[in-house]
Amino acid sequence: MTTPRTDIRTGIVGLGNIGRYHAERLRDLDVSLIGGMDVAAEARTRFARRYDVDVYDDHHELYDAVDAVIITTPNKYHEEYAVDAFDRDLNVLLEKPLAHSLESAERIASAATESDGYCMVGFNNRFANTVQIVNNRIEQGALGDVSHVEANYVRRRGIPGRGSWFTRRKIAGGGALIDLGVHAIDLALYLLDYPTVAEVNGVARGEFGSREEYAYLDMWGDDAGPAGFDVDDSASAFIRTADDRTISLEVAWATNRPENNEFVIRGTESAAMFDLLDGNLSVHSASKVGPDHLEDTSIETHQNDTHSEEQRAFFDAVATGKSSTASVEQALAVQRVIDAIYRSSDEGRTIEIGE
Amino acid sequence: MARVQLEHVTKRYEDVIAVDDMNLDIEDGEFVCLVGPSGCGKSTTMETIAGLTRPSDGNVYIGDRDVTNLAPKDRGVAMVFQNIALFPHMDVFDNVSFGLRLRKYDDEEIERRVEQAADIVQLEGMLERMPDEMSGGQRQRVAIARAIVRNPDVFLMDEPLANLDAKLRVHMRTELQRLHRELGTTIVYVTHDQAEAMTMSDRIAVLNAGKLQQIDPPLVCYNEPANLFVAGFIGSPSMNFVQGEVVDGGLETKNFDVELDHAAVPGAGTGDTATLGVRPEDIHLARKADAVTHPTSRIEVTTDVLEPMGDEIFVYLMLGEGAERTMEEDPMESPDQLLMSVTPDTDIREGETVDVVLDRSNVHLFDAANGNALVHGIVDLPGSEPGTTPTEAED
Repeated sequence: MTTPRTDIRTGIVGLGNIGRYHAERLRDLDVSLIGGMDVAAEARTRFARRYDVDVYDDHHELYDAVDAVIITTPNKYHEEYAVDAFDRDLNVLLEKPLAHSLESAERIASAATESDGYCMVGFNNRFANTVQIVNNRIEQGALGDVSHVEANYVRRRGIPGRGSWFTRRKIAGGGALIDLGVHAIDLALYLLDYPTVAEVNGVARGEFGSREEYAYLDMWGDDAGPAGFDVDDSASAFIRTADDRTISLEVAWATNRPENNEFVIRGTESAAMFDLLDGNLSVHSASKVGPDHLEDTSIETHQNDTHSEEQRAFFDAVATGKSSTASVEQALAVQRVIDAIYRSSDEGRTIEIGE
Repeated sequence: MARVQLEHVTKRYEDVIAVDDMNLDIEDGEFVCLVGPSGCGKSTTMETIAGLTRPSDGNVYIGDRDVTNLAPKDRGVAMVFQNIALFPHMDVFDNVSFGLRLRKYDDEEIERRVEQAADIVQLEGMLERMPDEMSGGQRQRVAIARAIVRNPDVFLMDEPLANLDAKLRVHMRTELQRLHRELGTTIVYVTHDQAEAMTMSDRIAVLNAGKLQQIDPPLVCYNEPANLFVAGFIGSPSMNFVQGEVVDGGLETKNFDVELDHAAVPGAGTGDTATLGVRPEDIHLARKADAVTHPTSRIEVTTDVLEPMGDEIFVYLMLGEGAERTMEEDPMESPDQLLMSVTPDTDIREGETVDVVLDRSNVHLFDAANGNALVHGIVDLPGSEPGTTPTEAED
């Protein structure tokens, strides 16, 4: 049975920037936004004024009124709001990462599997047109056996508001690795069809955010200086799957290198290369048809709004009564990799997943 | 309550075989521990029963149902893990009743079950506490209560006590035994802690390299290990192993001989290589071996390191040429060393030359080629009477 999207009563938990970003897109989807919840009065007032909906300081009251929630709170609070939503069999679109810690992520995943609600984790980059084109080509075998992914999500000077929850370990659970790495790791594993990860070796560094003289052009949010910064601002890691395929990962909020969000998917027949920042996509191969030659093909497509596509997929699944938690299990796999990279960095050794 | 059966279950991860053609038949109401070294497949076996992983081949039955393709929540199992996964923002009552609420039980039934479970695990009066206000042991009891309220056919417990301190672990062991006695529910329990397995189980399933090695009551695994792996794995410290050659009238090892009518040992022919196994407590000082009714001939040894443990002393013994050397090898695997355990009142010093005897009723022989046990105890075999009386005065 399909429920029209307009009948899916939706609420947003966490009415900060990302909450409002989601709310804007809900309008285009014809989903009925019923209300919002935030512990901060200022955020509630602003949200109520703009969207003309009820706002609450207690999520239980919001949950009484809705069928679905989008949770966009700081990482540490994902568990409370998500688990309480699962408790009521609500459908949940949960912003990435799954949680601020592996233990919390495991509890969320376990609760999700018991609930009849549909849960999806906000890996919006999967919905980029370039990613979908590459994924189709992989599925059709055009790349041959995909054996290695170069996954980069590197900003040159892009630490989000120093002193905000993003830069505090207790609330975010980490820095650039958990914030940006979560996207890059998910995308790499997604394009490899989510193999079992065997081991990781990595280093997470805090080199820029803790400096008084941190130089930057723009900052998302306010800058409270180095006192509010106790997380990593870049990480490099090497990830090996149980079937010996590999991912090399580079993530940074800040590093001395031009920014890029480039992925190279290397297969035995060809490689695909795309950058999510500019939407460029190219395919590279070699051929013996005629004189030996190398072939580089540029592919053009629209740069779509990945958050809108993600919302559409979520609400379509809710409308058709789907109850899969596949993306939660995958988000848990990503969280295990992130946790292992942090441990590898702390302990100075390779970490086997599951040890 | 229900019987749990695994039929030819194999789990492959790409090119790794985690569980290899496993057959297990766990009786209704039985407490079975799965034990084995890290990577032996015990957790994967448990996950296969739970439904957290699907077998690559084979079938899983719980009660009369083939549950191979059922989701975990539809299998009638309740799980308790090592990491005590309580929701930190919920009090004990809400944590315990979480699964019941999702299954749409009415409030009265939820309250009845939670109170009953709290009573069983002795958490009365703590239902409004938050997890961070409780000790590790109390939190683990909440996790167990959460499993109990579901009234499952089978409890699946994966190292549930591993994160508790030693004292609490011992206490919780008796709690779990009491729980099993009260509820009578089938329990499958994964542990690497032998003491847990020995004290709690009706039967122990010993796994290695994804294969079931033996499933038997704890003392049968201890006294009649099916093969070298089980013999070495069960018991701490481990059994001593000495390789020897079967000769007419006995087994000849590098440093001592044991009289034996090999014709009476199935599978042992003259010239075969066999492994003799003897536990540390079955090696006795000849001068104190009055109680050993079936001793072997005396073996001259030199004592090396002594490890007083309080209730017993571990004595490392050097044999033959090894007597001059320092300890470099694992005594369990060296033909020149043995580990003996003696009572704490034993008058023994390092560097002493003494005679020891082995208790023939607890000497094991294994086929050195495939590791399978040939015989447990070499007492009743013809020609097995000792050549020396152990009661002669020493020194």
